Amino acid sequence: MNMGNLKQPDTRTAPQFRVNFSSGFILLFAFIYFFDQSGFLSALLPAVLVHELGHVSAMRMFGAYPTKLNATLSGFALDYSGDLNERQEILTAIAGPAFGFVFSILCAKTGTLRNNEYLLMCAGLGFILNTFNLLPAKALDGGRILYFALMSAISAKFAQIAIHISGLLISGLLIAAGLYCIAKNYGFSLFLAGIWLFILQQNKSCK
Amino acid sequence: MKIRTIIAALIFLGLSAVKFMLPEKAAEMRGYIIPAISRDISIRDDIIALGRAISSGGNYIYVWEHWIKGENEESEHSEPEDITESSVKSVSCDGFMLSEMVKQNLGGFEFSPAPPADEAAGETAENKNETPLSEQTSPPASSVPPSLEPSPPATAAPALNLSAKVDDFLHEQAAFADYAVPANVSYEAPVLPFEYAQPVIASVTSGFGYREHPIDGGVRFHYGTDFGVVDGDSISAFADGTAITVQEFDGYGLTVIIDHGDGFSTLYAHCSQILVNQGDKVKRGDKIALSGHSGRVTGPHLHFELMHSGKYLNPEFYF
Repeated sequence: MNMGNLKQPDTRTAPQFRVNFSSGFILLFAFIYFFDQSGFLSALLPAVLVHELGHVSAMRMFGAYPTKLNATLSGFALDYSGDLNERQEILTAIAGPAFGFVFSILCAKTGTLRNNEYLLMCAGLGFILNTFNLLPAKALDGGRILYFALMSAISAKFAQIAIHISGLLISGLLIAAGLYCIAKNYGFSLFLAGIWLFILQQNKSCK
Repeated sequence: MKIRTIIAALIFLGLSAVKFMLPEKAAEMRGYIIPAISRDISIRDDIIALGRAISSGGNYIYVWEHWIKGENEESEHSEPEDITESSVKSVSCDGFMLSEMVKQNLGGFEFSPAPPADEAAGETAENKNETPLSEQTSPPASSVPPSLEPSPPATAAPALNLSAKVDDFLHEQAAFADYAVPANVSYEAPVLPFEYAQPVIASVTSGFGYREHPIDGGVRFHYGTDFGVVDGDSISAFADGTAITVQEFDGYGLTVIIDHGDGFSTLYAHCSQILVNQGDKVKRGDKIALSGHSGRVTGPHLHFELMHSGKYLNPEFYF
């Protein structure tokens, strides 16, 4: 693995940071917001923000600058300017879930102490979000980690093929589990997550 | 792409406008669509239970059992299903072990495994030598108008009887010594600072506390007491108070919650009809609802909960 310097000299001025909401994201948000009776969105938002903060913090530590936050149907994606080697990419990808899990634990502990259901929802949703993100599939942090690990260990081409196969397998398993849940009257959520992940595997490469 | 974004933004604004300006219409639309796309799981409760599990070193097994086995298994048994909300609170939060409490309270007793709580046979109530329900001070059950005069005062049970009931209960729960008492549950039996009466004249079909599910064998905590009633039976107020909540919940169905003051409140779930409005003052014995099978149940019953300052108490101590 390329063990390049973790920190690069910062010779650039910080580029302007933009946020981009795709039409698909706005539609999705609209329908979720309309049907949300339990306050999911308000509990999910802090978890998402902390997750992205993890990525941004790692990027900044390695000298890169986040330039754009894309909110699309495939989720949130951060564009950045700067050069990160494979190890830095992996650590940046890990930072998001790491921050997220710490946030979940803090919310869980505080929510339990104060018997606050909102904090407990933040904890639970954050846990689910970050665990799901660690799955080794395209567009997820887990996929990114696996991609860069394989890229540095073997080759970029092998990494792409491996991540593609892994993503299809994972989404297939999720769909199968989701169908089981539907049959058992446990709900559509897992099935929809599998379908969503399967569709994402058809998109282009993860970098 | 800009046009798509604008259209999407307009749809968002439209839906938000409907949600804010026409809340009844929005609720009606959701009422049609949500049942079609959702199932009987209360996802919110699951997520809260997961949050509690993360903070504790305790009963993950219960959360796992709940997720795997769910709340929607059709029971071949005639007794009502446990309600979803129970699963939210069943995860241990502070590591306080039931076994420790049992040791502290039984002290000197020779442990003999209690029989599993067999709700169908109603053993729980019978074995405890409780006063038969019909002899307790309680309002008339069937189609009788709300009592205009106060029912005969229901005095608080003498301390000795409460203590005996607590001991009986702990002895029964000793079989579940490996399961921690949920943090929002108290096994104490405080003397109630008001007169009270049983909300229905019916036998207990499922008692408070840990119990083994008769079908799947999983252990669950039941936060209230289930009374075997049929659709349309009268449900009376446990004590004087104010109806602070009249609402339909996931799992609980049509529910009314009465605040009795001093931190005490009672909950009456799975009703077919609520006869009071939110904010109404009620007297002990007033008819407040009709029993039913709303929410996630497999048969009509009254699920009754007694709470004090956020802690669930065992209602059977007072019946």
